[in-house]
Amino acid sequence: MANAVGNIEGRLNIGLHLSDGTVTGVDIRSSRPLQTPRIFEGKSVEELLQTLPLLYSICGTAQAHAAVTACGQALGLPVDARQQSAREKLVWLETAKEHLWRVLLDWPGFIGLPPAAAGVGEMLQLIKRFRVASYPNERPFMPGVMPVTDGVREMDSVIDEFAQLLQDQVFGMPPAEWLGLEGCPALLRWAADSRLPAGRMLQFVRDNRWDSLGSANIGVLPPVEQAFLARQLERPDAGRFIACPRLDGQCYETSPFTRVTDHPLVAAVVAEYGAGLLARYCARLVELAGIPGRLREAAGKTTGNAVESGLPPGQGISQVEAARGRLVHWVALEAGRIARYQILAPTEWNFHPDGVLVQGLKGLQVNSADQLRRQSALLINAIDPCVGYELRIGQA
Amino acid sequence: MCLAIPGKVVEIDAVTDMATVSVGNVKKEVSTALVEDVALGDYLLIHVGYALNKISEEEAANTLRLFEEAGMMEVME
Repeated sequence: MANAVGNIEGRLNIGLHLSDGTVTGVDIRSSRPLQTPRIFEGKSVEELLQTLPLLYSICGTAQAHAAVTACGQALGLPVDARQQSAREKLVWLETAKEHLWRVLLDWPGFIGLPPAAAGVGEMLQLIKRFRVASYPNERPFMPGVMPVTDGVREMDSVIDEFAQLLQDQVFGMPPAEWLGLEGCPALLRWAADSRLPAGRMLQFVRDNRWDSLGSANIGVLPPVEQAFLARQLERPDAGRFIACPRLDGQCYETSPFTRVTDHPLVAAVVAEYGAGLLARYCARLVELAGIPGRLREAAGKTTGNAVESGLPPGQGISQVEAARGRLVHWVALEAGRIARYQILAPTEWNFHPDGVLVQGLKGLQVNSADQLRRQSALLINAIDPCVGYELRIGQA
Repeated sequence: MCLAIPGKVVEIDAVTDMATVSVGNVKKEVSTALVEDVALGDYLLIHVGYALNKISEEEAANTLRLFEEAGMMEVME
């Protein structure tokens, strides 16, 4: 029975081949339903925007932001900077929720602690309050709907409570102060002294000497021209590009790690230990710690920019930084209804047959299949697929 | 990518913060630790073992209809 539900959610089947203590092959197969967007064909924009956040509810805010942006473009609506900024803030809050899910629900399981679900539940409540404060009608992702301006005080207090939640449950100090830790020694001292799951997780990686585990030399997905992406997604065989995307024959990574590689703390860890487990766990914390400041800085300012899509009338495309990396939506409208719809999610890049996970696992040397299983689970969690997975290890 | 399924609450265990939800004629155990005030008959969106939020019966019906249209519910019929 569970399989039936699993069929809807989809999953990754990850096969590892172990030979004389070395991983010699990595095979990723996906049963994720990539063609789901087809069900939007023939529907109105309003129907699409109502149902899409329900279908993709784990990253529903990023999906809704990408959808309304692409549809607004296809309808020829002007981009409003204040509206864009308010929607981006909701996406950042969703990203914070996803990071907290990893840190408070997943990480404790790796180090023998109970999951701290209360912190994630509290975050979900804060998101609801912020959303209602900026959009009392609760329709932030409908074309033309503007945020209100009188909810600023409530939004500020939500941001304060969010920063306090991070201090109490993740960093043990104000997140802005944690971001100021200087270099690897300060980070490692913090991890060694912390009693909270985040610090203990980093210390666990250190104790096992898995700091560099999964280091991969893969490029950061560069900015991609809207028109180029639209051409790929418009093709009748777009499904092939979506299932296995490349640019000029190369596979790239797009993730929280690639968004913060320039931060001094992440750069220091990468310089010392490479782009492996420690750098990736640190990067998730760096991005999370920066979100309250990002929400405050943007308050009252307009950060949105009108983007010329260069697409034919009736088409729209959007690129949104979602919790797991860059999310792309493309739409073609005909007579006010959706003629075609395509979604390219970050998991397609990161769990690509030549992607960052495969490169990080290939060549890995382990003492036993059990150790490989534990190490793989940590690396998969660091790169973070948006669906469940099954790991099989075959030995020569 | 990130699909979540609506399920109807048919059993609640308040001690363990778990609930049994039915999706079509399939039953599934989920944690309700992230959602407040879950009651029998509520509709929840579920993902990898957790209930994410409550939705209305109408929203649940619309979502399930979309899955059916996409041929993704056949295995349950």
